[in-house]
Amino acid sequence: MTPKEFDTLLRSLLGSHKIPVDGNEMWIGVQNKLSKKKKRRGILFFFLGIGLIISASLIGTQVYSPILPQSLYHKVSLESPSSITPHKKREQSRTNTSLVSSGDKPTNKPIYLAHKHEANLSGSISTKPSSIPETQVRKEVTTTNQASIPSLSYPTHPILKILPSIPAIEIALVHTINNLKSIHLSQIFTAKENNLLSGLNLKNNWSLGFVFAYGKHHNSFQRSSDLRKNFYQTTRNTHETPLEQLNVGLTLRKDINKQLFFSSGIAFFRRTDIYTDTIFSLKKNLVTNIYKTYVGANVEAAYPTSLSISESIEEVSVYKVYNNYSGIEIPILLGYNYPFGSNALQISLGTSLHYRTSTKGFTTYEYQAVKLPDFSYGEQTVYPQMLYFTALGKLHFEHTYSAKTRAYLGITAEKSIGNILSKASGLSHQYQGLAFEAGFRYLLH
Amino acid sequence: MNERDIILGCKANDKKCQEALVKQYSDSLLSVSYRYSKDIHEAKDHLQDAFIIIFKEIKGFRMDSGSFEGWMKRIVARSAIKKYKRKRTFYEFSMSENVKELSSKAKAYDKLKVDEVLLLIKSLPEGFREVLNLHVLEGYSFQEIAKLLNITDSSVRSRLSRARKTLIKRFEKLNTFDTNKISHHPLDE
Repeated sequence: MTPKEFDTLLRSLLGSHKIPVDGNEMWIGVQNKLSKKKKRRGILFFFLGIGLIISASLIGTQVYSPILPQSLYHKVSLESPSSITPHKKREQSRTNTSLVSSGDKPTNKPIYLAHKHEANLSGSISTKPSSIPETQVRKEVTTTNQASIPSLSYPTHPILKILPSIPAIEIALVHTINNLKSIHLSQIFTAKENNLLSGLNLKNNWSLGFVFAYGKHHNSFQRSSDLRKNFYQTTRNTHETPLEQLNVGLTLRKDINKQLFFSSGIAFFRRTDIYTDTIFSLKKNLVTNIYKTYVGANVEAAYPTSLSISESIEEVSVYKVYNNYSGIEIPILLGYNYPFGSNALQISLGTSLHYRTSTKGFTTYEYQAVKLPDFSYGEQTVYPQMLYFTALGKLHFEHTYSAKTRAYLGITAEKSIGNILSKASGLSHQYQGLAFEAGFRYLLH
Repeated sequence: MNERDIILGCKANDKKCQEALVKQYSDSLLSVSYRYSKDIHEAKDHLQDAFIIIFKEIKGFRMDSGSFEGWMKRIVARSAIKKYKRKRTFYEFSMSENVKELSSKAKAYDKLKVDEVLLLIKSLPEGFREVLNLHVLEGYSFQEIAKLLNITDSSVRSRLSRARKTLIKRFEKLNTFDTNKISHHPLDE
């Protein structure tokens, strides 16, 4: 048998060979692998985020470390600790051990960046980065011999002015559980989310925050009665929406003075909804990818009042929604600080007033966007006017190991007082949220 | 759903079309995957991975570039080889066990001859088998195989020649093939 004959024989025998297999079983296997791959990608992004923060911080330290002129090196060496008199030492110890409040020099102030996720009636989420002012008074003991270091000269380029002088990194992990319950409809929206927050102190009262959030949300919706039948005639009987989302954002903050802060941010948001709809025992699966970019500005004045104005563009495969958001949040925190040694315990109880309105009135979009032509036509108002109160409980424990390192643990509980009334639909909702946070701060200098 | 609809649907990431593709081509692609796998379970696992690659790469497939099934078969083969390379766990073929497995299947599918040939191919040493499968059955060129396996062109030719010779010898002995007499490992030859 020649090689050619042999090849032809093999091809004729095996070229069209088939091994019967159950197609359904194979398809289920493929789907399982696809979902696992997505999870793996999420973990990869998570570690990539951590890597980026650390690299950015290290680069900042390397590049923007102040360079002392030769003459100043000489001056510093002359004022070595051994040459400092006992009188000077006493003066320094008084200078270095002081109470530092949140409004003091930003080089010692940690950055706190948070993203709030708000669920509207249809279960979609808006992302609004906001700076949460830090209220605790912290006793800081600095070991740097600041008195002996002369003032340093930095580059004068305007951009360089905001670059790190004493960089600090702060990494916090926040696990949040939110729950939105509709009164008239048996709709429960739960969100479980892990946030990685980090910050970098920059020069001239500027600070940079980074957020990486990965979460899983679940929306269970069932029409339980004929209430609001006309309004909800377009909705399905039941639907389940497990979804995964990824949120990466960057916020730049300027502390103008102790009472006035300005922050601006950009965020990228990606969400995948797997929408299972049950209509008359028929199940429909629909996968929707939502990409959202956020550009916003946040002004916090006369602390603790804050005013937020933001603009975001939401892009779902078919439609685009331009959202304007403006609101006033007045968290009145009645705090009690118990400093003991280098630890601090803070218990807060308060009330906040939320007012949300769209500057252009109601923004509307069509349900057709989600490609359910048979049951989906209709209009839904997004970002309706709302006025509601929230009771807030916060417990925060902090341990300062040294001037450079500190760790904290916290729990925050929120609950709406009464019902949140939506003017657009006339429906009432209740909201409760629970957040756990754990953070670690390390100053690089 | 015809092939064209399936391709267009998969290009648009349509789940229904992806499902149709899996159901329609699983039988023929499993045969390819099986040639590179230890057993049928591993072959299924490889094939599922290959389908994910197919969904990803289908956007680059042109209708006028040839057989769609042939294109997918090449992906399945390439995916299986890459997976083995990464794992570095080449299976050791046990002929007696596989003969029993295949013989029972052969009776069920009434394709004894094909399964016996498949068995003989699988009994070849790893390097020989890969080259033979890729060149003769999947239609890869010598250069492509060399690149995929990270060996030289001449090694590909030499392995193919030796694979053919070994297989022809075994193929000729097929008439006197007795599974009970084979107890040694085929790689010892």
